[in-house]
Amino acid sequence: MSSEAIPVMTNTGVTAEISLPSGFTSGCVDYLSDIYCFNEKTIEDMNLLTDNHSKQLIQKLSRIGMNGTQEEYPKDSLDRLGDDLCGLVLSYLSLKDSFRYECLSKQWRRTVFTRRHTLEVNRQMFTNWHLSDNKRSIDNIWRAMKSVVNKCPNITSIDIKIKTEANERVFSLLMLSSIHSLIEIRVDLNYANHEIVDWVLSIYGPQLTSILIHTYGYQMAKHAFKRHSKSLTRLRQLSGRNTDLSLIFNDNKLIVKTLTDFEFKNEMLLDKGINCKPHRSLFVDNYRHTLKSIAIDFVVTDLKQVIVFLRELLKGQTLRQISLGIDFICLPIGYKTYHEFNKFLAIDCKRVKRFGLNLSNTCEPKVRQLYESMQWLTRLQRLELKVLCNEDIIELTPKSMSLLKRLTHLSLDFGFCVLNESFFDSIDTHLPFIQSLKINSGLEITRGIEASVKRLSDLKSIKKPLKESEVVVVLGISPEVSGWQLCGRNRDGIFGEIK
Amino acid sequence: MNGEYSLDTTEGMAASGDPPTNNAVDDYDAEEALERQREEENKIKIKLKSFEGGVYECGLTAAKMSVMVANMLDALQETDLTKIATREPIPLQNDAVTNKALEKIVEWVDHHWDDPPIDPDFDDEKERRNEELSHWDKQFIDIADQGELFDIIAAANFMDIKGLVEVGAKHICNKIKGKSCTEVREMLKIHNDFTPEEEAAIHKENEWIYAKD
Repeated sequence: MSSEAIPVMTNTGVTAEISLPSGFTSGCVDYLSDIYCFNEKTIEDMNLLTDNHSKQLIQKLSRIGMNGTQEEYPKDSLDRLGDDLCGLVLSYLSLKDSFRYECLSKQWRRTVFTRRHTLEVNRQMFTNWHLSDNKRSIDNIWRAMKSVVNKCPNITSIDIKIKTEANERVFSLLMLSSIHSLIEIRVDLNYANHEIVDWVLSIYGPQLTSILIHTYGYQMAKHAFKRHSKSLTRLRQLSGRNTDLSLIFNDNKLIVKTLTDFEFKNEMLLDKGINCKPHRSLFVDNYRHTLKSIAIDFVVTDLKQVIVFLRELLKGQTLRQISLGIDFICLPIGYKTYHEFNKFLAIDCKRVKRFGLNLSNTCEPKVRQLYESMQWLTRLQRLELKVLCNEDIIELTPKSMSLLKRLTHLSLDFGFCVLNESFFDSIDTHLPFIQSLKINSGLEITRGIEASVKRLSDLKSIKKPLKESEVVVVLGISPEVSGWQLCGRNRDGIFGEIK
Repeated sequence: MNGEYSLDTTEGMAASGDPPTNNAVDDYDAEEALERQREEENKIKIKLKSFEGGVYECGLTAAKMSVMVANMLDALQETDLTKIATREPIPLQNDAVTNKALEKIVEWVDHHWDDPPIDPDFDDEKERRNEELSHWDKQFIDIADQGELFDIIAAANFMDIKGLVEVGAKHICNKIKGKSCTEVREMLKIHNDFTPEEEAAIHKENEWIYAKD
């Protein structure tokens, strides 16, 4: 078959012989010669064929398969794109727009859902109604979900917030319908009571890949979690609010061993999780070579314990992301503490790619020092620094970050404390690769700052809470900078922009 | 603080001398070396030929952002990269690759060749999809002539430049966001090949989308 040569002639009189590469059946032959004789006109095409370069031929074949009748369509019509490319383009629509535009043409109906792989079930999903428990809303959700399940056959990842029985049923439906194709299942149980936690984990525990759980006020939820923790064999991400390391332990035995991302926040309690030494060393022994990301947030009484814990984990070489929230309220702001921390950053964190630091009750010189120590983290891609302190002004320079050639995301949050305006002056020369910039400080946006920021050519998102007067300035000067968003206000507005 | 978890400086320093630590430093060096190599290779210029015959010059690393071009270059099995520069231009055999489209595509890869590579340590696919376009990309893709815009998207798809196809797709989806079906058809010149009955049936299927709480 592969050596068979077919003579063909194009409509411009060019003749050639095509040898089919192996794998193509004789059924293709007529189709092929038709296409090549009548749709293609140049001698290059014929040379390409006679080269018998199978890769190129396959590429051409797939193009013909997609655009075989392209001559019919005007150049400026989207109809000219093949189904494959059309599906890819339409995959960037919101889910709601996918349904709205399904009726545009047969091609849209065929392709608009084919490349949809992720599904986020939340209140922003269809903005004009909420996932609440009233009868009418449940009926709507039910119809919507059945539609989604019927029309999107290629869902591989689900994100769902389970709070009420209505969501519970939605979740069951989704799980039943796409059970074989699901790779990622993320459930947010932050607002679920212990009965729902118990139900979700008992039935679907072995399939879940990510869990968010809030145990404050729901100690029962923690017990429910622990009851089923043995079955969570696919769990990779766990985020626990108001809990500590003990969440994944039962009677001093580590139960959940498969995580790559672990986050625990404990706004109320002190650092007892880290101070529980048996837990700490069992955790380190198990996770030293597998954990990629850790986030810890609590009131610190002894910073050394935290450093020791992280240093042990970092020795395993896999930890790439650290997020630390530290409240120094119980800690004297001594030179030594910060010195230890700076040393830890410079020596132990060299391979960390993402670092978040959320400091409460500290002071300006220390913050500046820590900020400057970040330049030793040569592989840093993302830096988040959030500071709560009683200062009026904080003076930083982008130059101290200029050694970090890989830094693409920078977030600085100083609350009401004012960041020096000169920070922005040469931001584009020191941090040319920044894609995302989030600044929250008492500093007002001026034309100068806006001009500097606009020189960052790779910038994709800017976030800075704007005061009323600034909205006018920013929107007035440049309506095209749609990236300026109103953070912290009108939250639904940000997500609910789809009409 | 006892021996097991010592904060002692010397031990801390010793830790960075552990064999695994050295490996990681080597990783880092390897990455740096790769970056330098990409930089050097981009100084070599290769020629790309459009469907209309126009020839455009482009850095080698930039050109390799097209998986198709990268594969074709691999197939040449040329070890002396500088020879690639003197070769015949690489023909791009798809009628979407017009002179104008190829000129724009070369401009795009020349700007983006040094973008940070996708980091296997993090799963940011979803984040990337939801990200807005950068200032530069927004200006780049804001093209008045829709035929040219579609040429670029189709050509980028043919050449397998994922990043550029994404820029085009996001641009189109942004443009039609919030528009009525009639407006979108008009804008993108979509021919409605449904009968009125068929269209009404689809509307009925999706009626729930307009339901209120």
